[in-house]
Formats: sequence, C-alpha cells, structure tokens
Amino acid sequence: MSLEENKAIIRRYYEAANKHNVDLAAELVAPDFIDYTNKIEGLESLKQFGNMFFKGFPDLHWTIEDIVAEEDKVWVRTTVTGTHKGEYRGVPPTGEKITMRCVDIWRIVDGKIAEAWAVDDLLDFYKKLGIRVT
Amino acid sequence: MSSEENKAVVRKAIETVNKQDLSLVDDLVAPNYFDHTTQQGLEQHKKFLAMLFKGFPDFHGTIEDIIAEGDKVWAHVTFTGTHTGEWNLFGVTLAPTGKKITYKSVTIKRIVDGKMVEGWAVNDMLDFFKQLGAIEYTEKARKLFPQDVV
Repeated sequence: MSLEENKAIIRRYYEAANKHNVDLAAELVAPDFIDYTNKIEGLESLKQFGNMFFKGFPDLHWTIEDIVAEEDKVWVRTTVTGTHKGEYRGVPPTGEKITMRCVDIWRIVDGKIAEAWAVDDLLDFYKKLGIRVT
Repeated sequence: MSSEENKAVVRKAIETVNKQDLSLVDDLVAPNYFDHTTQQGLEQHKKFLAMLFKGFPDFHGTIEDIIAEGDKVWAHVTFTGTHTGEWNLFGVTLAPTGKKITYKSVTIKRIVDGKMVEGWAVNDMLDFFKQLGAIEYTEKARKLFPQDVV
C-alpha cells in the first residue's frame, strides 16, 4: 500500500466516525485491532466505545487538522467537538460544549487498520464536565 | 533537508531538554519561531523551558516514535519529571509537591534549513495535573469519572 492509500483509509475512517456509523468504520479495521491507549481490543469493543460517545455527544465531530504518513503508519492531528446532549456514563445531559485536541497514530497492515495509539488533551473536556484545576 | 535530517533536528531538541541546556536552543530554533498551540515565540519558549527546568530539575523526554513527511516532523514523546521546585501554573505558583509525573505528548515541528520555524503540540495535560494532585472533582465529575476518584 502506498502512503497516500494509507491516508485515504484513515480519512474514510474519520468520515465514518463523523456519520456515527460504527459498522462502516469497522469495515476498515482488522478483526484483531488493538488501541493501546484506550485499551480497545477487537471490533465489538471498538463499536461499543464509539457508541458510548455518540450517545452522550450526538453531534460529536472530528476535524482533521493535519495528516502525515511514513512506512505503515499514519498520524493525524484532530480537533474533536461535541455537545453533551445525551446520557454519558450514567450522567444526564448538561448541554456543555466540549473541545478535545488529539493526535491519533494508526498502523495499517494489508489495507486494514491494525493498531492505534493516541495522545489526547482532555483537560477542557473534563473541566466542562466538572473538574477544577487548583 | 531530507526527512532524516529533519528528524535529527527534533532528536537534538529533545536531547537539549534532557541536558537542560538552554544555550543549545538557538542552534535548533529559528528567531521567528512560532508555536501555534501556546501562541508563543522563541523568547517565551525559552522562558517556559527555564521555568520547567526549575520546577522539574530531572525533566526528561523519551521519543517513543517519530515520523516525517515534507518539512514536518512528528514525535510521540513520554516526559517524566519530579516536581521538586516552584512551578507557576497559570499565574498561580505551586510549591514543590515532590510528585513524580509521567505524561505523553505529540510534538509537531516544521523545519526550514535545519531550524524549527513552527510548532504544534498535543499534551496529555489532564494526566499531568492529575498526577500533580492539582485536580478537584465536583460531585458530577466524581460520578462521571469514578475511576479517577479512588
């Protein structure tokens, strides 16, 4: 696979995520997928993780700010926005608008997403949902 | 400059942080450097590093992974340090807590003629503040993030 083909797979993945279509996203992912940061293993676990967020934040949206590729990896810098309009982990909607800044690192094997790592700045997200930095 | 040469610049910058040697910064960073995440230039960047070295005298970065394309280099870094000095947090001075912290970061640098000209970063600041004990949970947050309040 070329670097541009690998990037195209990742772009399609975010498009599916923006449609909140976990089945469409899962078509791009290998069955033995591992996300080391979010401790996700396999497709069912990935779908559950997505659906938990989509329920809590029905307008959750990823914007790709920058994307690069080398060898079998694609790195993406994103801004994620959403409004807490649904129940999230048992907490009723607060109406808070949240913004997260993230870098996702993907490894692609034979045209499927096989591994992932992420660095997320969740400080704003947690602040909106009730933490204070003292 | 090749991608490998650009990566070498970023590797040197992390070594500079690890040696806590501010005199090396000018060799690696262009005078017109701008960091889009902090909205700061070179002089403010140096001040930030000096403050960091004071607050965390053993501050250290380990590159976990590094990638380059075009004129950009992205590095996934684990930073560690012990908070044994005064640290100024958003204008509020935090006395040394003695806490050892570890947090992940992805730093992105644009490099022109062997020097960094632009930067972006995503730092896991939540993890950083959690480990410093600088986070307070409201009742709502306790319910949302029970794993954090044990």
